[in-house]
Amino acid sequence: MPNSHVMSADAFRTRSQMWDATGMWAWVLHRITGLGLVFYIILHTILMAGSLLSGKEDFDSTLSILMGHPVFEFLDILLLGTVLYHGLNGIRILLFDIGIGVRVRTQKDLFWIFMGVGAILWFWSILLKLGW
Amino acid sequence: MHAWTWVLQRISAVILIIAVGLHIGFLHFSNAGEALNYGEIVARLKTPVLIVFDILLLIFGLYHALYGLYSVFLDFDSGKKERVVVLGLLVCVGLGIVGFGIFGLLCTARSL
Repeated sequence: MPNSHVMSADAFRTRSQMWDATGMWAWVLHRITGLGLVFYIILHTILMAGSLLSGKEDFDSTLSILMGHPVFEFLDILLLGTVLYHGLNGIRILLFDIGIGVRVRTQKDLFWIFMGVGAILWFWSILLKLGW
Repeated sequence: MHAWTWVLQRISAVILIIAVGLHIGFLHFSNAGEALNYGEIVARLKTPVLIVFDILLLIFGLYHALYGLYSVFLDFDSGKKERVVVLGLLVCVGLGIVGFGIFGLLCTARSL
């Protein structure tokens, strides 16, 4: 297909509103992970500064739960996946903003390459967490 | 909003990709399996560079988070008055949390 990477204005108007468009899902997930991380960074800062301020005993008992209890270990893995998605998709957005790989086809390829890197990093970190 | 806030969102993004990577790597994977303890945190904060690193992470992290939240808000219809109120609220929340975080870090660093 010649010029398959170039979309006509009409096609763009329709396709960009379709839910099977990769970019649409990438955007939605970036938002959801972003909102989750806003909630997390506020909670994380208050909890860490608060337990540091309340002294050695409180800090150590808080951390032994946060870094020891299976539920929090699971949440930690979810958090890591969230950070990896938001960060790697964010690199794609930054590259787009400085004009690298702006064609639709390249954007899709870049997205899946970053997702591949993210999957590997996520899998690797889970193995590290499990003590391999 | 003016363009410089958008540029700062990009700059903070680049900084966070590096800084959050280091933060997670050093605090969560350098001693995999063991929970961090107070002594380690105090020992870590003996190095002034690491205090500066944590403070910068806090400032850029919260700027990026709250500007992101404001961008989501801007995607909905809003009046000028609402925008001023929301922005003011976010600035207060941001300054409050950054302030509390820095206070916590500095008090811990002083308790050597």
